[in-house]
Amino acid sequence: MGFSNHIIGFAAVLGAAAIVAGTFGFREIPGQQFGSAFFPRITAGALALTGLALIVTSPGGPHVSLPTWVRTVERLRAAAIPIAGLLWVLAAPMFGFLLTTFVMIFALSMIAGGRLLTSLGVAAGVSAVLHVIFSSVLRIPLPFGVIERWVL
Amino acid sequence: MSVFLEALRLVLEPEVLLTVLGASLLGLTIGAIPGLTAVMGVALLIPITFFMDPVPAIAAIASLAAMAIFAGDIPGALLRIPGTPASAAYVQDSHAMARAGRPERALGLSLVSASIGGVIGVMLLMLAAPLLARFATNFSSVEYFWLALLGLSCAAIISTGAPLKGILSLLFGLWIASIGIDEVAGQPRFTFGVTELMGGISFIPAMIGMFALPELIRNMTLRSAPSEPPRMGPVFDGLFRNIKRRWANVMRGSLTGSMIGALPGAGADIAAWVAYAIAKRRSKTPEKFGKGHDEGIVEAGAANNGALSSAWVPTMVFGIPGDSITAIVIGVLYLKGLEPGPVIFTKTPELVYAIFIAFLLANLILIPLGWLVIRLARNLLRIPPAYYLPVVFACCIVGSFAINNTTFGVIVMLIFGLIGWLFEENGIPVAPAILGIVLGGMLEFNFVTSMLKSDGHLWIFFSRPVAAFLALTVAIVWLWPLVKHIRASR
Repeated sequence: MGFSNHIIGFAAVLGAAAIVAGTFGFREIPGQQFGSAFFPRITAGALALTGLALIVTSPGGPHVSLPTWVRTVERLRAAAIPIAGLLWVLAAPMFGFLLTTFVMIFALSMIAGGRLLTSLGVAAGVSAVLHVIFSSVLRIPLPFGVIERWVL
Repeated sequence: MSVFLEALRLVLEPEVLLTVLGASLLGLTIGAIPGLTAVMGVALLIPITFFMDPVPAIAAIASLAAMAIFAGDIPGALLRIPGTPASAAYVQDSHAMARAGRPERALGLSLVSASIGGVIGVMLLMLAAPLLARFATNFSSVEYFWLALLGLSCAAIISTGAPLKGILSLLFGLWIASIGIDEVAGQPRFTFGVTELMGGISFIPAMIGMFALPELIRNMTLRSAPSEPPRMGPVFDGLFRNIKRRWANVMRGSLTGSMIGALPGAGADIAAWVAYAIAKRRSKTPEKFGKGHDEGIVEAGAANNGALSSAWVPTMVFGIPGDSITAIVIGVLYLKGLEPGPVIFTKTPELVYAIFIAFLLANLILIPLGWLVIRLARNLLRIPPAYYLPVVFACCIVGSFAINNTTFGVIVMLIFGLIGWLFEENGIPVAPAILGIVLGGMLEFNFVTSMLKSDGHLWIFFSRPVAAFLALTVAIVWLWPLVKHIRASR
């Protein structure tokens, strides 16, 4: 999803204003000229100038342009990645690492055009290998759930 | 000498050798698969190195990067899809050579020149880094401020096509770096009451998201492997005769790459393009470039790996990353309690030399392992993205989770991934933002410290000869696009 330089520049100026507004609550340190707000304000000033420069130096054109795949079924496959990640965050604490990761890999593989049996094999194998590496070898407390309770 | 022997002993530990071998194979696989880059490979490796000792951790990163940069030439030659951005400079030549029925020649030349370039880059690293470190022990907060600004300026202005968008990316990174509790005043900044943000944005999930997620989203829109790769002949047949014929190109490429790599903020991508342009300019047959000529492949291939090694010079000596990979390395060194800078050379010299030796080892084993992956390349390129993309995404998730053992890391990875995707869709480079996140704290600390020392007078930034020289260099970097614009408009 492409935005025109005018929109990007405008977003930068708005972002800079938001940064400055966010620094108003920062407390001053007695006896010091440069408190916590000093550097973020410099960053915000530079951001606003860059945004303005983008607006001034860029020629006019369409404000938003969409890649060709957005108009086709590919958009669902592209959206599948962040959606799968979000669902993993919500489901993993309830259902555990193994089941959630297995379902996620299997679903993504099928969405991307994989074959049923191969996708099942890849999902099962990779979830198990990742669990062994991170949970058993590196001792990371991965989310515990139904399968872990049954297998371990 | 005893330091060197101690370093050698550290590297020759079976654990380190096995780690180097494993990371090398992973790097070759990642680099050979189109869409998976060397930086993404390093980002995915970090959560595992988190649990290793410093030497195997850094050796793993060095090996993976060296292998992946070379392996990026494989899909470039066989499918005309550069595996890593650094391979893009000579992809026309290597693919033309492969289409003419000589893919093994293109890849063999890339392999040997990459190895030689890498070794020369390591030599430069071994010679220059300790000397510079001795010089840098006199640096104060002022010089470090300018060095950090120089690295950030190079990354934002020189290394990107559109300087304004590079600066935008850099400023975004600097703002992200300011999130969390301010070390000096103890003031929480931009945390919005979220406890997890008190410690700042965790660098590793942010980096995994920004480098890996855009590639995954883009690759998910492809249905299958693009085309059937050509058959491969014996790699070493006549290879060394060809390298001998192009020896001048190999040496020039290695030196060009090593010098460009040593500049803060510049990396293998720029080195490869510059080396290719030099090769074309100095060639007796420039008309053959782009049509399967070997001069460009050899010179830019050597520059790639040369730059990769020498990018560690500013990283180790000043704590200023040479490229995106070394920006990640700085994060790892801090996580391991090792502060990069001149002090590391006096405090733990054996560790520094162990890293050098590990780098040398990685570039030497590149030839046998590279040969192996060239032989297996047709099979690797036939794996449909439908199977490896979900696996890479699962690695991103578990890697982000493992940093703090919470799903918050995964959320950070997803948010930064979407930001990275939006950046790339709009021609905003991601690397300056990452450098901004890594160096933001250092830049602010040194700026505020210097201002406090001088009681608010800006002259302190020009009061010492080295500081004044660095300030001038930064000014040149910032004025460069303006000069270019004026020259172009005449």
